[in-house]
Amino acid sequence: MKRSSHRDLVALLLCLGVLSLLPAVIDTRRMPYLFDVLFSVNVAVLLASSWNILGGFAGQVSFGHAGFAGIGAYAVALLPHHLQWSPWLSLPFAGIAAMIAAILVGGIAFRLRGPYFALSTLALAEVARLVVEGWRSFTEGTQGVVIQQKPLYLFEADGALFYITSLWLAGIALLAVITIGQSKSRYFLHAVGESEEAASALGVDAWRCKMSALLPSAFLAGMAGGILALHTGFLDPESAFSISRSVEPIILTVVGGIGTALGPVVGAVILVPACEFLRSRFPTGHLLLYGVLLVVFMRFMHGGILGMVRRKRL
Amino acid sequence: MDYISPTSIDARLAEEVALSRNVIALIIPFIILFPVTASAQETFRIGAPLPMTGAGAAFGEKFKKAYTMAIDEINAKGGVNGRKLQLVIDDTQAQPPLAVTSVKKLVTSDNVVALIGGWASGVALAVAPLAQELRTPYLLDHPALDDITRQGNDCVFRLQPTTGMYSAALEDFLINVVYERQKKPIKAAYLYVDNAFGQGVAKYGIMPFFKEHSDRFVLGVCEAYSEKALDYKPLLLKVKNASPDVIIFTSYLTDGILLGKQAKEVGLTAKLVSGTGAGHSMQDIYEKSGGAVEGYFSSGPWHGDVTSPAWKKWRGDWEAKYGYPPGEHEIEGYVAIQVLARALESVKSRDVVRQREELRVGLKRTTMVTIFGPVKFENFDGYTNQNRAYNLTALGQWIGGKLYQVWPKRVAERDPKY
Amino acid sequence: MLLSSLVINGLFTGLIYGLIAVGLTVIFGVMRIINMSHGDIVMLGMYSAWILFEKFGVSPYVSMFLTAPLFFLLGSLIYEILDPIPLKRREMSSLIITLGISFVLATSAMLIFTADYRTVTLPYSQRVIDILGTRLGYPALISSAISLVLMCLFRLFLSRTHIGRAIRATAIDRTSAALLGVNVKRISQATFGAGVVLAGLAGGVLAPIYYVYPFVGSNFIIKAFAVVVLGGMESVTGAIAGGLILGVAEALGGAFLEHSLKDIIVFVLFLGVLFFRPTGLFGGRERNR
Repeated sequence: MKRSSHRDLVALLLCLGVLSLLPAVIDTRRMPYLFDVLFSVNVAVLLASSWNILGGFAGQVSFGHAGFAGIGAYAVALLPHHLQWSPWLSLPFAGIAAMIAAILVGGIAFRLRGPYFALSTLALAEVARLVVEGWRSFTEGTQGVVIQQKPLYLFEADGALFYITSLWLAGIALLAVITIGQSKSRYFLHAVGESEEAASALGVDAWRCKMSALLPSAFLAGMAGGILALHTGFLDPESAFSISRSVEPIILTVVGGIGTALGPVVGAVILVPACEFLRSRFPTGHLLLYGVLLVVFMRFMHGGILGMVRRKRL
Repeated sequence: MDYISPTSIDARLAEEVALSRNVIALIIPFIILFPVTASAQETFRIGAPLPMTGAGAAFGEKFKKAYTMAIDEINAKGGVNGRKLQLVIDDTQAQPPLAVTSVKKLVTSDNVVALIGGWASGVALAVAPLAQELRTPYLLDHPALDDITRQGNDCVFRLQPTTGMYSAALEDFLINVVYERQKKPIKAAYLYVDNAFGQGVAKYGIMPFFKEHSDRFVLGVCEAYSEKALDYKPLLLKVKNASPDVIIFTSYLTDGILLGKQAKEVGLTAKLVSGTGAGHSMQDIYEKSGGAVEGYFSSGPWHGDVTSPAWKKWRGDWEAKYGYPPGEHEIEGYVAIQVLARALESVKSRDVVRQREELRVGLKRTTMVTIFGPVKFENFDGYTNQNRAYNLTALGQWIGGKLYQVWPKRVAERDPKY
Repeated sequence: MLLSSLVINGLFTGLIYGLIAVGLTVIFGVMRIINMSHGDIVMLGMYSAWILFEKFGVSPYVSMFLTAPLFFLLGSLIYEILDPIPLKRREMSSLIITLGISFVLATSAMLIFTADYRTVTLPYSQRVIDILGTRLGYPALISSAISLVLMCLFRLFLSRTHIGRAIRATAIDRTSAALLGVNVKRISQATFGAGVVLAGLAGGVLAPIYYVYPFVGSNFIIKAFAVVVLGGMESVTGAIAGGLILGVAEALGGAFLEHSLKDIIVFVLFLGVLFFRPTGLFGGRERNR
């Protein structure tokens, strides 16, 4: 590892450490709403970073991340439902289940390029939703599953626990992004994203290369879906696989700066609270304002916020 | 696509870190400051997590109107215990994850004394345990899935019948009229919308009924359909092929409209076609299907004793205020506020946490007769704080553009056309 | 009997799917932009048909052509927002911009028309015609027929007129088209306008057979994507074929599977086609950018 990566790692750990202290400073019981918003920001960072690994670094734009998130969410809901496990202990299986699904997705969709790939991931996410809806004896279908948020041993399943867990998951996602960003495979991913033929001609195994981005991406998306389901305490296919959950990480990443390590973080930190603020102040009109915000943002900062700020500096 | 050139990645990353640190530093104070609101209040705030945008927005709007009307009336008379009621609406888009955040905001930031509404069963399933955890009374006026009041939550109250009860009047009619007249096994078909409501009516209402009475009824085609399809004709053709005597639908509004129109189109008829409340009990379904549902029955929550003067007066007030006749949603919402107002009379403290507990006790003690029917929250058969609403379902029939109550006999406005 | 009814039904519905998708296809073909607001423009088309019918009694089948210029204007305006963005970045940023426009359109419709569900009930809406033993309502029949005619006309427009040829040339290669004297910006703007007009027309065709509410656009968008990809993303013929295939698959799926699961057939078919033809039925080779 190079020295700069050590420095980034230290910076990341320092940030996580400081942010982890927040529940000690502010009482989560008195301000659960604040911690809910912070939790949403963390999950958004997690989901958007996961999308960024595949869409930003490997150039494979996915419209189906809701599929991975949904599968992860159902792993968290169904393991306790059928096996009487603690939902918290089944959280890692959210990522694993999504990764298993990803192998299938890679097998089917990596033959396709550009928009064909994007829209086939959308179709695959829809198939996953329909399977969950149809397999009623196992998944409870459209009626949904209630998840008991049993305490995790000594801890209580309160805002602080959700906040810290999601914070560290987001940290792991960033670590993955930084690691990939500084490893040699970063160049391979970039090359394959630009031109698969050229990369293959130079002896890069394009499929394996794309798979190496898809697997961590799916794992992290599955974790995002899992922790979100756990937090909601209830899961139904419509919200778990909704297209807006596929679209959200794209918005955050592109607005923040696609293909940059911290773009999704900036996007999430700005847009998630902004969206929540608009929703709580304008119950009927908030989407109008949010839409205008997106149009104005992208019209004047095509490269995303980080791209914009960087250009100003140069 | 905007890629960073791979050669300068380390430098770029370091630069990014510096940049985002500035951006984030600007944002954090904003996050920390925004949920802070004053907590001293002279009003009783009632929090309503409702779908104000998205596919359920039409229903969120109905409940908003109903709550507003009831609250305005109560406030015009001076409020409750000298305090006015105030409605705080938060948009859930009918998405459970958003509803959870909404409720936390309503309870801890807006300091509401009670929660009301929710519209979708999925939302209510997510909100109920949270209301319990936050010790805030939650009065359900529409989410009907049985499970919601079967989890032993003493803060969760439900005023209206559950999905399992929706079809009670229809079942009664099928046995006592339809079967009695034909005296031989009756072929039935059942189509229900594939969501929590449809699954609930099927699982707790219709399916157990047909299973129990399999000597008298043969259930042929029986399936869930998707809510937003463009074309239901393949499904209806399949039903037509089985030529049933009785067809039952469990539908929302839009799918109910299309099913009605397209059933006409493919020429599907039966001796009895009935919905189970929801879409089939709304005035809209008649008008917007161009009268295609003429003659359909609908078994659902009672619309109140529509022959009583109090009900007629209320209907007149509603039409004067909003310009259209009220249906099941409007009555439920209006009555829910009245029930809350009655229970709030026993709330004396000034601290909102104590108020919530007093309100919970107050709701538990409430016994009142509303235009919707009698309200009393009881524990029975695994339900907690559920209004015993078996008697609050009635069978209506669309005759000449109006839904008349036709069964049971004691509340019938006119005889069924059958 | 049942089978033939299902197929005929599916074909008629498929024509409407085709019309919804054509506008998406043409915009994608020329600009490589996935227009996320497409469904919401269809919604606007439905509302304009509804309001003209409600207020002035104009049949949607007439009013859809009267409002077409307005939709062209809307399309040109949206294009003006997208145009200054450098081509290299346009693909992703236009995705977000059109998504933002989609939020704006849906919410504005809600603030103007309220969230209530609306339908257009024509005087002859309950009349039925018998085609080969299949009963079809007049509105369904007329809507499908108009969709077919519109798609064929548009196909002819692309191949027979000067502007049409310029559009196709721009779709195939922007740079060469520009070298040969095509004003690429004007053509792109016209294409975007045309795509939006087609979406508006699809709304007019849908109004008498469906219902409209502000967020109805999301009901079609996934199906429209499926049709576009099935046919090959740049091909108008492909969109027509894709629509028909989807319509029939859905009809058969709805009858032989449980109705709520019919879309599994649709998506499996979709993925199957892409497995053997990675650029759709009528699509060319995906260009390397």
